[in-house]
Amino acid sequence: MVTLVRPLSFARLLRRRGMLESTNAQLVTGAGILLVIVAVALIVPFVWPYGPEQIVTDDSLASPSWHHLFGADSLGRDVFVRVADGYRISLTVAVGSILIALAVGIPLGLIAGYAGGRIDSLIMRPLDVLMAFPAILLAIVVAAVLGTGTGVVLLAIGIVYVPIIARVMRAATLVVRREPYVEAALARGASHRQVLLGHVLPNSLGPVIVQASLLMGVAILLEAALSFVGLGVRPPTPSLGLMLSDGRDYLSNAPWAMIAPGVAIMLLVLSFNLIGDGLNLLLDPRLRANGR
Amino acid sequence: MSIRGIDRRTFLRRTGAVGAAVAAGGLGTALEIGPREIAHAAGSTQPVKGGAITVAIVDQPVNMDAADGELYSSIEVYDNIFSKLINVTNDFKFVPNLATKWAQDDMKTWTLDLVDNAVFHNGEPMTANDVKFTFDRLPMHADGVFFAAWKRTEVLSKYRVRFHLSHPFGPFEASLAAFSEIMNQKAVKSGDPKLHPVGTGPYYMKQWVQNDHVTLARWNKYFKPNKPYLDQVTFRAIGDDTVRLTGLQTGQIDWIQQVPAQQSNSLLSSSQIVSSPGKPYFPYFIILNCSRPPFNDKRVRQAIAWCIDRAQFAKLLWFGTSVTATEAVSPPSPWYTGIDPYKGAPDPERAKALLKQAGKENLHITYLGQPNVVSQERTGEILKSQLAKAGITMNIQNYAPAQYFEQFGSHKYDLTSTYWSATLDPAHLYFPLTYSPSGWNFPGISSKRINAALEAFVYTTDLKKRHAAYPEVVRAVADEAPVIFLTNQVQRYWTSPHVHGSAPLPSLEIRLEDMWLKR
Repeated sequence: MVTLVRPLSFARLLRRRGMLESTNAQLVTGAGILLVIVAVALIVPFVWPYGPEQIVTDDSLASPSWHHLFGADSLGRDVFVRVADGYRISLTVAVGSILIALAVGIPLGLIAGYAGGRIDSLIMRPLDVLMAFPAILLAIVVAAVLGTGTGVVLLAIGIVYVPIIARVMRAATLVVRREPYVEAALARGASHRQVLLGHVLPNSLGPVIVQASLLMGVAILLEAALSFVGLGVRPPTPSLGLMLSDGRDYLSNAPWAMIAPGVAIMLLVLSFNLIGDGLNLLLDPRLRANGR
Repeated sequence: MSIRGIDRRTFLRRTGAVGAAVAAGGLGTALEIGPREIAHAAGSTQPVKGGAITVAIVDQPVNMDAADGELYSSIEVYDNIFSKLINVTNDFKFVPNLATKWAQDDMKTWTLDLVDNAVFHNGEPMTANDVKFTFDRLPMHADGVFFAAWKRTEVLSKYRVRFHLSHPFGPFEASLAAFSEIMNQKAVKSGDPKLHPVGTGPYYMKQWVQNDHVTLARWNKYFKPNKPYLDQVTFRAIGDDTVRLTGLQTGQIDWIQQVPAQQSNSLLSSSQIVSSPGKPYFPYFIILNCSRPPFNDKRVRQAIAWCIDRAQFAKLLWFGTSVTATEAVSPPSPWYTGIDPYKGAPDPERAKALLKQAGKENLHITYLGQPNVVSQERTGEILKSQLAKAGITMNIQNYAPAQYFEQFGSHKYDLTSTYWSATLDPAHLYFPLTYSPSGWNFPGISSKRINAALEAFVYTTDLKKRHAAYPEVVRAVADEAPVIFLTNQVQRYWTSPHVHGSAPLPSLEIRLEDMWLKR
C-alpha cells in the first residue's frame, strides 16, 4: 500500500529542516522571557528572606530598597516575593484553564467537525450561545456562582475558553477531513475512531496549539481582572490582579505597589503572545510560504 | 418587649457596609484641632446666606424613608430633609429642635412641647398628630429597635405629645436625637416615602436622579429663622477615595467625607482644602458567630481576643487615622470607660492555653468578607497573620454582598468584621447586637451576664445609675467576646476653604443647616 500523503505531526514539524531558524526571534524571545518568569516563580519564594504573606508593620508602603527590591505594600509585605508567588498563581491559572478548555473543547470540536450535520449542530449551537457572552462577563458569572479561589478561577476561565477551542478545532477538522490521506485511510477500511485519532486529530492540532498559547496570555489578564474585582483568588494569596487592585489605592504615594504587578502581568502576557505568534509562524504553511 | 428580626438591608443601615464606605476613616492622626482648622474656625463667625455646594458622599442613597434608615448614605441626605424632635451638639448635649422642651413625668412617661411654626414640604403644618403617626409606624420599620421600650404616643394638644414606655428607657433622649425624624401622614399615604421624602427640615428634595445625584433646595418655611444658609446642596456618591479627593482639590466638589487614609496627615497641611476636627465616632469590630462551633465556646472566643494586636490594625488598616478601641465609644464620649480585660494582648501563649483547655488546639476557621469592602478584606489578611501566631488557621472567603448577607444573616459564618454608625449612646450598639432577645443579635450570643448588664444599663433613666452600670456592660461583652472591638475611626470632613460650619457630630449626621459659603 502506498501512503499518498504523510500526515504532519507537531513533533515532525519541529524537526523539519530549516524550520527552527525561521521560527524567528519571537518564539525564542517569548520562551526566554517565560523561562525567566518560571525560574523566578519557582525559586524566589523559597529563598527570599520575606514570605509572600509575611506582614512587617514598620515596612508599610516602604519604597524600593535593598531590603525590598520592589518596595512593600500597605501591609508591609515584600512586593518582589509577592510578584514571584503571583507568577506561580498566574501560571497555574493559565495552564490549568487551558488544559480544561483543551480537554473539553478538542473532543467536542473534533466530533462536530468530523461528523457534521445534526451532531455538529447539537454540539456547536450551545457553544455558540456560550461564546456570545463577553468572556469577562461569563467568567464573573461563573466565579460569582461558585465562589472565589484559585480552583474556581481556573474553572471559570476554562469554561470561557471551551467554545473558542472547540470552534477552532472544528474549523481545522473540517479542512483536514477532506484531505486525500483521510479519504485514503477510510478507503482502506480504517474505522472512524482510527481516522479521527490517527489522522484528523494530529493534523488539526496546529491552529489549536497556536490559539491555546495566545489564550494563555488572555487567561492571565482574565485572572487579573477577576481578582481585581474581588472574584479571583482569595487574599492574602498574592495574585497579580489582586496586587494591582490593592496597589491602586496607593498610586500617588506608593506607586511601586501597583507598577510592579502591572509590569509583571505585561511581561507574562507578552511572553505568551510572542510564543503564540512564533508557533503560528511555525505551524501555518501559508505564513511559511510567504517567508514571514 | 418585642424586637423585630431584620433583613440584610436593615442591617446595612447601621453598618453601612457596602461599597468602599469603609475604605478609609476620614481622617487624621491627631484629634486636636490643627493650625489650619483653627484659622478656618476663626473665619467662620459671620455666616452669610446664599450659594450652592456639591457634597460627595461614599455610597448611593437608596431609600429616603426615615423609619427604614436604609444605608448610612441615605441618612446623610434625608437628615437634612427631615427634622428630629431634639438635636445633639458636638459636645454631646441635647438641645431643642422640633421639640422646644421635654420632661420626664415619671420613669416611663415623657412629655414634649413642639414648635408651632414647622411646616412640611408639602405645605402641611407639623402637629402632634405627625409625631404620633411617625412613632406609630416605627415598630414596623428598622428604626423601631432603637425605641424598644416605646408603647404608645398620646396627643395632649396640637403641639404637645406624651410618650408612654413599657420600661424606664435610659437611651430615650439619645434615640430621639438620633432616630426621631418626623414624617407627615398625608405625604406618606400619597407617595412612596422611599422615593419622595417630605419633612420639615431645612431643605426639600428638588431632584433625585437615582445613581447620579440628589439635589436639595432651601425650604423657605423652615421653622428656624435665618436658617439654612445655603440655597442649594447637591449630593453625589463617589466610591473611590482618590476620585473624591481629586474632585475637592480641583474645585468640582466642595465637601467630602473621606480621603485616602494614607494621605490624611499630609493633607492636613494642604492650602487647597480644609479639615474639620476629627472625632472617633466609627467603632470597627470583629463579630464572632457564637451560635455554632467553634465559637459557641467562650474560651475559643477569648483566645481570638488574646491574639488581637489593635495597634497593628490602627497602623496598617487606617494608617493612624483611627484610635485603638476596646469598647463601643472613645473619648470624647462621656460614656468612655477605658476598660480592657485583655491588657497585654497580643498574647499568643495565653490564646494557645485557652484553645488547649477548649480542646481546639488545631483550630481552623473561615473569615467572611466582601471583595468590594476593602477594609473588611484587609482586616481578614491582618487577622489571619495575627491568629497564625497562636496556631490558628484562618481562611478568607469572599462573597458578593448579597451572598455575604445571606451567610451572615442566617448565621452561616465563623467570623467577620464591620463598623457601626450609631453610638450616640453605647446602648445603640450593645443592645441591638448583644442582647440575646434582639432581632439584631447577629453574633447569636446568649449570655445571662450580658443581658443582665444591659438591662441594668438600658432600663433606667437615672443617669448616675446608668454610668454605674455601663462598665459592667463593657466587661461582660469583652469577657463573653461575641464582638471584639478593634479601632474607632476618626471621622473628619474635608472642604474647600470657602465652606464653613461643618463638623462631625456624635449622631454622625451631616447638618447642612449650619454650613455656609464665603467666596
